[in-house]
Amino acid sequence: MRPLSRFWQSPVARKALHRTALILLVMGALQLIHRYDLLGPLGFLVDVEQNAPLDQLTRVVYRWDAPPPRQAFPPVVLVEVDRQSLEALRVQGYLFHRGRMADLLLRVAEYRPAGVLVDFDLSFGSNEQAALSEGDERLLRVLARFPYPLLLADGRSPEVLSDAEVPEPSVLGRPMGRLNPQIFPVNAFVLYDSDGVTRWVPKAEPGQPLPAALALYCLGVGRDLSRPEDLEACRRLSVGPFGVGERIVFREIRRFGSGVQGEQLWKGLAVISAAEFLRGGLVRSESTEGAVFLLGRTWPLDSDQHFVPVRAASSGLQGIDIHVNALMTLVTYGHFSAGLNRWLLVFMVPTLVFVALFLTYAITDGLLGRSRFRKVINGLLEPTIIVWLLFWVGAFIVNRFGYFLDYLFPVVAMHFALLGLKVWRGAKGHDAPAD
Amino acid sequence: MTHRRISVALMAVLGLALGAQVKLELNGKARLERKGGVAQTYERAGGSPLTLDLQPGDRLCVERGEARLTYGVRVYNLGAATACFQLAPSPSLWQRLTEACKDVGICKDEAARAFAKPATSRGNGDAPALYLPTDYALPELRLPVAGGRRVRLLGAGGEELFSQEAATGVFTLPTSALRFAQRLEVAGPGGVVYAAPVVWVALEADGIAQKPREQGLRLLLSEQVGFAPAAYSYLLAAGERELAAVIEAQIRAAFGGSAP
Repeated sequence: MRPLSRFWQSPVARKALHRTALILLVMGALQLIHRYDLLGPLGFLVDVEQNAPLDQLTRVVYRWDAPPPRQAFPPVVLVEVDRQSLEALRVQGYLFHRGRMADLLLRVAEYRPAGVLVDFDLSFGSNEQAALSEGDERLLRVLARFPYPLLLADGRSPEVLSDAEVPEPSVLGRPMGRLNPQIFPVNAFVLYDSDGVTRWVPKAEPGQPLPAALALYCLGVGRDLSRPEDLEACRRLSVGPFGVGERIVFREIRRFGSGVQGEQLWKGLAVISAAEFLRGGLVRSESTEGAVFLLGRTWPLDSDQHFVPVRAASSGLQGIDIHVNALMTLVTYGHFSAGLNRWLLVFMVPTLVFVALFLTYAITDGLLGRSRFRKVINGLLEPTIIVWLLFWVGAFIVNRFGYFLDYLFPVVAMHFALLGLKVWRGAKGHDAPAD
Repeated sequence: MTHRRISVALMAVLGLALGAQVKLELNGKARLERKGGVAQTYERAGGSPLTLDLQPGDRLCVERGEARLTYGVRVYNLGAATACFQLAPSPSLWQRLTEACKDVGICKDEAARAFAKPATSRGNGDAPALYLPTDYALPELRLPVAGGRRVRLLGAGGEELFSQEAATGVFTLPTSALRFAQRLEVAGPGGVVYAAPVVWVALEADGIAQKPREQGLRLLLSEQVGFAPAAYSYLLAAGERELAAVIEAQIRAAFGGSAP
């Protein structure tokens, strides 16, 4: 007991404790302001500014392996119509023949999938005339008897959906619901922020189709979308703390040349080109039975490209990649409403801040106590250490738990605290020695 | 338990890539090339599948017969059409750190040097145009491109004004021909590798006759790679060999080009 009490009486420890308390106080105040919207109309200042540090965290984890999923989830397979597939599967005169889509779906059905997302617009036939082409006819026959849950993009824009007289979603000109009860319309749009960047898993609005990633997630965990109570449960899952779902954790989806293969950063994700998939490039065994499939295209590049807060993808990510990242975020990081153990953080952050401050003051006040450079080094070390420490702690938390805490607040709090301290010291008119 | 969880978390954060197991059903002969030039050969005629431990960067090629390779959930049929399978080399910890550092915006890509501004506005596609100042005073322009190439100057009607083949790769173009030239073509053995308009540009001059060295430096400061041959000629005429050599490399890269 003795050494401990001596420790707390040492000036360095007390100074560090004092500062830590100050930081926590400001942090707590900012959290309250944010939580209860105390700034009123000025609250946007806090919300908007939050994106910058959280985007930085997104960039940090972009190239690192994801932790394993929190709960059992079937493997996720992205079947992409890439450039090679388009060239290999090309039917004379068509960019991508609908008959090929039928082939892909038939092959997918062999794996008895838990759910399939088809991220192509199949609302209408390939011809403008009423008559369906040969490929369309084939696809329609396959769709009509597809025995597994199939998610098709609902081509109608969300603005139209709020009107009373809404036409039913259609597939190849036919009403979707009447064609096959296993076909469900989903919202395959990505959600933009006001700066044109995609950051969120969209929220499921009442009366509108589920977002694609969320619907796939629900199918993967064994929900049945045709049952209203399951549908309602899914809808409730998307109500995050801020009411717009949760932030997508982006990870690089690695693509390899032919004959080269490596690990994906997301655990449980496999990426295969449509041409190779049709050639039997995916194992058929228990390991892929009941998998979740996404069918999308990554070529031509510019037709479905969206900006994301990742520098490495500065020209944008393909829409299907964003859906994959959104799905894997939900899969890997458990559910947004489940909540991260906040007590862990309540304990961890102050401890780390204290340790960092203690070490800093042990150097500046202890070792360099008599040095002329004390003030300079003190000024340099203190904010830098805290900001970087919190940054890497944040990166660790994002990587491990997928939760973007209101990470801005520690950093802002530190700056506010230092600013306040400076003003207070200035008023006292002296350079305080170790207090 | 806690230790294990921490180490798992640490590995997840550090992204340590470990080797992977592949299953190989071989009917014929296969060769496994490992890092460091080590190679192993396998020969089977069907039978039970082999289980191999591949490290990132390892490469397995079928030399005879055919094989079915299973890696995770992926299947590869190796045979005549695609003979090899390679486990992608995973980026090292250092590479990941530097990439992450760049992603966050602390580290910067190496900045380009002199003549770095792309001169695409008047050329064909990515190829720079050949710019010449209207007060160009030397009788010849020296254009260093790769050896064994042929350079042609074409007039307004596409007629050939001048043509030269130089084994050393340094062409000497007469200024008198350049005055009437519209286009410049550099042809390699496989056809035209670089074609661009010849553009005479009136640069503001202070009317004082300048020495070649100053003229060269002035063009160098323009940072337009189109002026690089003119700057190079001036600097050579002034005897500035070292500076000329620096520009020469850039001209060879830009004008010797890969595609017109």
